[in-house]
This record gives sequence, C-alpha cells and structure tokens, in this order.
Amino acid sequence: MKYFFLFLIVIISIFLEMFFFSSFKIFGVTPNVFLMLVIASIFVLPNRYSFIIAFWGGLFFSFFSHFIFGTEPLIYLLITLAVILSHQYFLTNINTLLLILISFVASVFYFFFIWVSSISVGLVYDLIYYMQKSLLVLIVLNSFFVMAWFFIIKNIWEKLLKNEVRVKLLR
Amino acid sequence: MQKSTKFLKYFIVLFLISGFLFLGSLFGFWDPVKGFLGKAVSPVVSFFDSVSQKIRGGKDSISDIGTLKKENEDLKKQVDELTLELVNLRGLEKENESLRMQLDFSQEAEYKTSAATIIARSSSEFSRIVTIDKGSSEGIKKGMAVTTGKYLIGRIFETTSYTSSVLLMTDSNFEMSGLIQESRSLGLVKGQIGSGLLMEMIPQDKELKIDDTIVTSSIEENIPEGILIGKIKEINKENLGLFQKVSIVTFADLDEVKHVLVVLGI
Repeated sequence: MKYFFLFLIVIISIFLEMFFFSSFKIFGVTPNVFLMLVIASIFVLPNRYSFIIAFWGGLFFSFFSHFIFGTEPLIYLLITLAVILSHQYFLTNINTLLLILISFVASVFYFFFIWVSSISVGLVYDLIYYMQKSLLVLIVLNSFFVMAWFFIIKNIWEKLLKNEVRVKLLR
Repeated sequence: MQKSTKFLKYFIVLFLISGFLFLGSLFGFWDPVKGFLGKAVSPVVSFFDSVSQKIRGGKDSISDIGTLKKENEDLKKQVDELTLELVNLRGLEKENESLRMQLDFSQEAEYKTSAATIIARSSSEFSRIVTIDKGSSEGIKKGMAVTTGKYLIGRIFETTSYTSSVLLMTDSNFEMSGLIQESRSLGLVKGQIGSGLLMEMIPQDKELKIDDTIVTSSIEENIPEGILIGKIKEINKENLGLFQKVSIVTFADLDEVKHVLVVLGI
C-alpha cells in the first residue's frame, strides 16, 4: 500500500506539471509540481524514497523532453541531495517558513539548471527576461505546492505506517 | 554516520545510472531506446494531454460566452464577402488551368506529408516545444516544417527513432525565411521572447499593409513555398535603417493544436 501511494503521488504530480499546468498556466507560469513533491518527501519519507522518486520521475520527464536524455534525473538527484544534506546538518527543525525557503532556493536552482540545459542543446534564452517575467510567480506557486504536498504526504504516510504496524501486530 | 552512508549509496548508484544515460545520449546510444519507450507510453501520455486540452477548452468556452455573439455576427458578414471572392477565384482558377494546358506547363509538385499527434508539451518556462509521435524511422528529419494541414506551427528540432520535438514558431529560437504574399517581399520570420512572432529584414522600399498574408518562401530547403504562417499585425519602419519589421499574428492557435502534418519534402 505504501508503494502504491508513492506511485500514485508521483503520477499525479507528473500529470499536473506536464499536462494540466502546461496547458492551463497560472499567471503565465507552470509550477514545478514534481520538484515540490520531491522536496516535501525529503521531510517525511526515508531519504532513499526521495532519491527513487527523483530518479524515476526525472526519467519519465526525460523521455518527452528535448534535453539530452538523462538531464532531468541528474538535476532532480542533485537538488534532492543538496536539500537532504542541508536538512541533516543545518536545517534540522522543519517548519513552514523553512519549507518555503528551501522551495525558493530549489526553484531558483532548478530554473537555472534548465536554462543551462537549454543552452547545451543549442537553445539560447534570455535568462534575465524570464527571471523577471516568471521567477517570482513561480516561487509563490511552488511554495503553495510544497506545503500542500508536505501536508498530504505527512498525513497519509503516517496513517499507512500505523496500519502497517497494526497488521504486523495482528499477525 | 551510518545513516548518511546509506542514503549516499542510493544517491551514488542512481546518479551513476543517470550519468551513464546522459553520456550515452551524447553519442546517440539511447536514441532508439528513448524513442521506442517514449512511443510505447505515448498512448497514455496522449490521453492525458487530450484531457488537459479539454479542460482548457471548457474554461475558455465559459470565459468566451460574452464575445461569441459579436464574433458570430462578424463571421457571418465575412462568410458573405468570402463567398463572392470564392466565385471570382474559381473563375480565375479555370482560366489559369486552361492557359497552363495551352502552354503545356507541368503539374505543380505536391509535397509529401506524414500525419502525427502531439503527445507532450514542454513545461519549461523558456521553451515552446512539443513532442510528436513520429520520428526518424518514419522519414522525419531535423528542420522539416510542421503544419496543422493549412497553417505552419513550427519545425522539427530533434528526432529519435519514434518521436520528434517540434520547435513552435513562438519560441525565441525559431527562424524561417518568409514571404509577404501581396508585395512578394522576403524576410526572416523569428519567434519573439514572450511568445510573439516577428518578420525582420524586409527591405524599406516594400509597401506593406496590415493584414497582409505571410507564407513560407521557397528559399528553405525541403520546405515548399506557400504554407500559411500568419498576417501582419503591426508595421515598424525604422527611419534610418535599411530594413523594416512587422509583428505577426499566427493563423494557427499553437496551444490548441493536437494533430499535425510534417512536410517530408517536395
């Protein structure tokens, strides 16, 4: 049941980012729903699950993107590692403000990584223009999604773990 | 310390796998695999894309109710004008055919096309790129024009064996030679930052009008002349420059397109 839940939230986040919000932009911006799922998962799930989610979700995006195959898993894994290390050694007590700060930094890094990846395939974009146009709205939207995912994963994961313990005890 | 080592092992393994995929892709090893797996999943992906298109369509319908009545009346007037023009054009077409036969002109070559479906759209803030479910195994090559059947939407940017990426006209990296039909002026059609379209390098001495039609020119290799691009929205003449430029409104609604034709060549 735990793994089905993880699979489901990954599918939902990919659907929302890749299909729903890319057609139905909010103030002209597509939020990084999947990245925010990965970040929220770091503070609830065991770290290995966050890496697995980051890798498989990134791989799925990579199949349908114009970047060099494997770019998205690399980006997501690096960001996941950075957040996990920060959480372990610096930002140990998680609260709403910290979550928003982490999502802000991760969003900026992701934005920049995607810009660099575009250059690597010969597509040059005006970084300053897009930062002025999209970054602030993106950060606000991402903050909303990271908190939503954190709330959803935390509540459902704890219930699933309790059920698992109950089942084991009954056996 | 034990805990840190454990998660690092997962990271290292997955990072190495991703790095292996990345490096292999630089040499083209994974293109067939990427294309095949992308194609295998494409029915599901395409379904989700259709669902999101329908949701978008529903939202647009509700917000457009207020303007639909006026648009309907304008369109009825336009239909009457166009019907009259069509009658005249049919007459000219017959005359043209007859003259060609008299002069023994060869038939105009028709171009080959391949039908495809858009299965994914880029979610990146920067690029305006879509993925279609046809690739190099179906004869698709980089640089080919992609149309809705009537209107240009972009050109092929990258191919794998079974899928291709299409750079839409409104991406700021898009460039194609264009022709203004009325004045026969050549220029360079370029995507603009902010999802617009411009035509530049039009000689200053050419007389341009709003609503003049822009089509593909014959200069581009393997792209036939005459594919409709858009019409002039605004003209910008620089007083001391050699060239003028125009803003274009595209005929195709690039966000609504689902089924496309790739022009394989003349």
